[in-house]
Amino acid sequence: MDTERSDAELIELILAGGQEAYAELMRRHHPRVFGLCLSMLGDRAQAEDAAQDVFLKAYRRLSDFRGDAALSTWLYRVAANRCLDLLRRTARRREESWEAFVEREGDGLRRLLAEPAAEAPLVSEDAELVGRVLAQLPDDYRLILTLREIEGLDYRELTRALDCSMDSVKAKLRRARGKFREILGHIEPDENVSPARTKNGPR
Amino acid sequence: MDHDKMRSALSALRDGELDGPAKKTVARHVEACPDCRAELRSWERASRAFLRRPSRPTSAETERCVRSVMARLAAPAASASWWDVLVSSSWLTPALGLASVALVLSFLPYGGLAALEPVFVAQGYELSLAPARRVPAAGVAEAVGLSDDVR
Ligand SMILES: [Zn+2]
Repeated sequence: MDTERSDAELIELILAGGQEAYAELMRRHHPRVFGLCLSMLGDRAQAEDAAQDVFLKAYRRLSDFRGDAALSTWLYRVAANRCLDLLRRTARRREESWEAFVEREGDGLRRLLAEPAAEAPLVSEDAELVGRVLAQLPDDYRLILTLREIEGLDYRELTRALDCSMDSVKAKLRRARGKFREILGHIEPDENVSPARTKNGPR
Repeated sequence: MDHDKMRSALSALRDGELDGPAKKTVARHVEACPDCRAELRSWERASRAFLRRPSRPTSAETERCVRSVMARLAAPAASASWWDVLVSSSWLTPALGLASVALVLSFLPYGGLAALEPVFVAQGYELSLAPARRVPAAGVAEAVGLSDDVR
């Protein structure tokens, strides 16, 4: 049984001309790159295309990879830039207001909030709801929250993936979370205002 | 500690990025402060519901990406090379220049020729250089769909 080759070993192989080793590297990292693209772009087909662009770009820039951070962090950075670039280029469709959306889909949103655990893949209607919620966030807030909450990067990794200082990571996270709370305030208006715990009844 | 500072500390506490005395101070405050506790609880709920959702590709999606990228890497020259040849070939720039000068000439009445000479020589240079070098390069970058700010 052969041991799995490390990222560094694969990169060495590729840079020495062993192009086919890149397939193995891609299989290993595609899920993360795709995941980030999906939460940024909100569309599977677009995420698929973006992930391809990321891996093409990364291949051409592979000799720039320093190895002082994990390859996954470096790939997140390439992916983040690609997604932000795509989002800048495409004019966003004007959709119904957030308030109108909450009015229409409030029950579904509250049901998602109340679910005890989120381990099973979402049915597509729910995925759409989640996508709509994430789309309410400004792109850079959605980016940092995705990297932190979904991809699990720590602050040091975030400084590398986002190419910014530690202070800026902290400030951005705090602002992003504030904004997220504000958005969700429309869904769960009373829950956290201390005295108004009427709906839930006694525990 | 005031509440503004506490809010950013809560963020760090939640991310496991506080240690030592700072962690103790914040944890003690949270214990005593219902607002901060509610904030943490609500954040946890929201994150679980909307952020930490599995958003991984199917294995078919991964394989599609691997196949497509490997195919494009295996034939990189096919799309880029004739532009490279075009742009880098030493005979082409003068040839294009000549062609464009000829084109300009063919539209000129005989009388205007002498007066326009300096102008069209300058234009001929522009015509031959600019399209041959800039347009193809941008075209290839566009076709691949990449921009230079990705590092
Ligand atoms: Zn407090």
